[in-house]
Amino acid sequence: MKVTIKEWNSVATWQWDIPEDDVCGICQVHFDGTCPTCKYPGDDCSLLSGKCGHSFHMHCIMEWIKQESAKGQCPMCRQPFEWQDQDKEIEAPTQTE
Amino acid sequence: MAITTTAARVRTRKQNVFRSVFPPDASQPAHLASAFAEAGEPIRSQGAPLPSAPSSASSSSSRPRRHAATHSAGSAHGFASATGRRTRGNQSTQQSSSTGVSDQARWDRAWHVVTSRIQLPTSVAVEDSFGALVPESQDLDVTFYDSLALVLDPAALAPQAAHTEDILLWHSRQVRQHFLHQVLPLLAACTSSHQRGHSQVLLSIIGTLEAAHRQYLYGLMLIVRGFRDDTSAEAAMAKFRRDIHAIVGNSWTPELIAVLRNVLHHSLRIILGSNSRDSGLGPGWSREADISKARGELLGLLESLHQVGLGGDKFQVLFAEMMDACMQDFIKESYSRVWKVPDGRRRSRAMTGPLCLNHLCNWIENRYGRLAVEVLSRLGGQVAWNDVERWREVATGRLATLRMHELFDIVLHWPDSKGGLDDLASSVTTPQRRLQLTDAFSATLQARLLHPGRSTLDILQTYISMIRTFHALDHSKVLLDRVVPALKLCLWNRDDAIGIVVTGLLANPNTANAEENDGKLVELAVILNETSQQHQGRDDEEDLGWNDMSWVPDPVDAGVNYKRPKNEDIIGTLISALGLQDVFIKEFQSIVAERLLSKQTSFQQEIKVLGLLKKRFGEAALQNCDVMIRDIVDSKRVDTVLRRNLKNDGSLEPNSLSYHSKILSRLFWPSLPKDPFTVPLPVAQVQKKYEAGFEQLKSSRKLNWLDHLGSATVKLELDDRSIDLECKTYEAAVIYEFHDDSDGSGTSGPVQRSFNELWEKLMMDEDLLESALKFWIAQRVLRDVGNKTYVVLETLDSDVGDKDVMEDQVATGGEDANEQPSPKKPKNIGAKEREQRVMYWQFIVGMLTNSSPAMPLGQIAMMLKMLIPDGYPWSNEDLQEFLGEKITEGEMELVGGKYRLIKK
Repeated sequence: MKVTIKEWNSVATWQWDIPEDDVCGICQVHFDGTCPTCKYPGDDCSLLSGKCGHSFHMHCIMEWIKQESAKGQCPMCRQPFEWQDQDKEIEAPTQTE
Repeated sequence: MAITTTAARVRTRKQNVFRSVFPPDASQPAHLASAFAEAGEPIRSQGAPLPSAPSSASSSSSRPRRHAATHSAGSAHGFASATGRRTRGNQSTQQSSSTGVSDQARWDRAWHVVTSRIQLPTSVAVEDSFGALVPESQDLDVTFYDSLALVLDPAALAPQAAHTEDILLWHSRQVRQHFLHQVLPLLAACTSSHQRGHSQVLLSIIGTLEAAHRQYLYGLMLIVRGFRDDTSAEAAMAKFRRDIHAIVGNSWTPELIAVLRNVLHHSLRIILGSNSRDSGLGPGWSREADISKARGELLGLLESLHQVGLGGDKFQVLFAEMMDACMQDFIKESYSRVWKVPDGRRRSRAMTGPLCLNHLCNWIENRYGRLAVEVLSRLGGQVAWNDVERWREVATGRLATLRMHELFDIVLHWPDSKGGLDDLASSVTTPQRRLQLTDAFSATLQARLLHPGRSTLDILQTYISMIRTFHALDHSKVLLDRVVPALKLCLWNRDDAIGIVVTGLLANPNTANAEENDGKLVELAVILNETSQQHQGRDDEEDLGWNDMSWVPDPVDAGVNYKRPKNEDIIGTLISALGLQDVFIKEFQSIVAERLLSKQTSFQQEIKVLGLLKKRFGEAALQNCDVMIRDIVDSKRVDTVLRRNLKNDGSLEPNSLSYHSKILSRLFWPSLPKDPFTVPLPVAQVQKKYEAGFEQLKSSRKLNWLDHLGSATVKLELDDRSIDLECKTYEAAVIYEFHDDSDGSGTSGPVQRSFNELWEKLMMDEDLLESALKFWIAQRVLRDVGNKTYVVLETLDSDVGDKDVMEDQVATGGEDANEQPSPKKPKNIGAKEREQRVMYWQFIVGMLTNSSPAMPLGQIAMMLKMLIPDGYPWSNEDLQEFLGEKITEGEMELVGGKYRLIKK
């Protein structure tokens, strides 16, 4: 018997490619979920990973950085929070602050 | 009668006193003495006072009278009093003078003349014959009138007569006697003759009574002629008439009542048209000729009844009863299960409002009321307009009751039964009736619908009709809310209810009649389509409703938190009846997920339903579904992009397999179990490229393949046939393992794989593998040759030829087969349930270690119900089975009805 597979409709789930599969330290929602302000995960609510190795929902960390008391530090380790320059990531707003 | 009796008693007592003072004298005239002695027989002494001239009539009449005197104490008293009075007068005259004797004689003679003339005949041969009147010529008899004058006015004409008597009194007494002894037996004879029809019996009764009346009145007429002035004559006449009516009116016998009831019933049914069921509600439901004839007969009958004195209270009560029963019958027979007008009729006249009710009101006014008025006016009564109103109310109430009992059928036949409902809507106006309605309906509902024999679909369908019907009946929904709890309870106990509703909602309304929608609530989808169009925009403005001219106050029996519903809202009511919203949403999600992952391309209906549900439950509750739909839409886009990229790169040969993928946000989908296996090589190659493409497109994301979900199309080229088939991915993977590329067919024979080989190669879950193999066997592509080995069925006829071999193998390989299966869980357990089982087991172990070492089944079930947050869907039987498994596995034991863990 000769078997030819003509069509294959598969199903997959996506997942942020980060080392630990954990919750966002700020909103306590799973990384693959959304931050509290967003409706749709993924493109609409992306992640930011700091050089310190901590990742957050982008919206969450932005809110955090905007606050005076944050002093531009990572909320987890209190090191200055800087983006990991992954792809063509926007220049970090930390420098303006 | 009672008054005369007591008066008589007083008189007798007086006479006794008198006699003790004045002992009876021996010098009394002989006939008086004899009269005294024969106190029980006064009429004889009066009717034939002269022993020298005994009339044959009086002697013959004496026999029954004596009989009567001994029988009726009342009349005996009356006679005694008469005698007593006479005695008294006698004694006083005796003291005065002897001239009284001649006067007395004259009076006696005159009395005799008169009484013998008006004496009632006693021989009764035929009913009518005793009324043969004496020819008028004899009336001119002078002596009679002279005597009459004397008898009527003894004070003037025979002042010295010692004892006189009131001739009128005598007459009425004789009439009473006569009636009692002659007429009543006759009447009894009439009623007991069963051979004739009821109406004939009645007629003969009336005839008899009329004849008797004629006879009695004749005597009276003779007497009255002697009166000088008209007023006293009339007064005497009226008194006599009243007497007779009283006598006759008291002579009702059960037989007579039965006869009359029958006759009345018959003619009332004709007149009121209640026996003409077949012609329905048309205007001519009984032939007019019949009606007028029957009406004439009835009225004639009434007239004569009234004449003979049978038209008294008793008759009126009887008549009222009959009319009442007639109304009942009429309503029952004309309207029960009649919900519509026969087509064509009455349409021209603008019929507004409820049909049967109008018809009934008409009937009450024009027939019922009219007849009652006519009858009562014949009987000398009157009908107030109020009464007619009241009858109408009564009739309305009865119709309402009838409809209440039909309500369940009305619901089932909706909307054909709209007419019936209109009746109900306009007749159920008071809170009492509303209560009655809900009670009646709940009872029927319980008896006819809410039992295990009815499928959930049935119940839901009925519920939908109920929502519609009750909405038409009562816009406020209060009634519905009152009958619905039992139904809700029943639906909560049906696990499949939510699923049915959701699939109904998601069904394709355009194929409403197609067979595929059998057993689904497609009407829900239709309703959804209709309402979603009207729904928009109107909702918000209506809150204030200043311009709502049809506004009515809340119903009196509405609850405290009553909120006016805007419209029928079938779907909303239905969903709210299904219990908690999260349960519903969960079910909705899983069904939508299934549909989204299917090969369906357009999800219009799903999106529409989702929109509707969002309105009801809020955006947040349904966000997952939003994300799910968005995922599907997104992955379609991504898929095109990726495929174009791959093609442009040249890394994908144009004629290789077409690869599509759906990429999901894993947290937003209901449980997506991961059952990985090795995908076929060509697929894996593409998949890898695809994955790389995705990671490039969406930075810092990676994919996890859910290999067992999804579908594939395979082409199988066998020796004698080729099959194009759509199947599940894992099925495709399994069949690909049987792929044999070498064209040299026949060299190695058909490909053969054993279960274990496949399992090792594919790393696939046993259950999946097994079901895939079953699928291909069912498709007649593979063949189980025993010993868990499968072989490709290259030609169809080889299947038949190999049968014997196969059986042999089964026979020999039986032992192997028995050895092989490792102790595994039952095959039909899904991944999710397996998870559940593990969790439940942990709970059970926990409670048996921490709470109490041994527990009966019921307690375990109860604890699980309390402890498990998502709800515990198992029945006691399920649990028992599960625990039974654990016992066979040696994890626990059952001692004295209690389960406990085996200590290790």
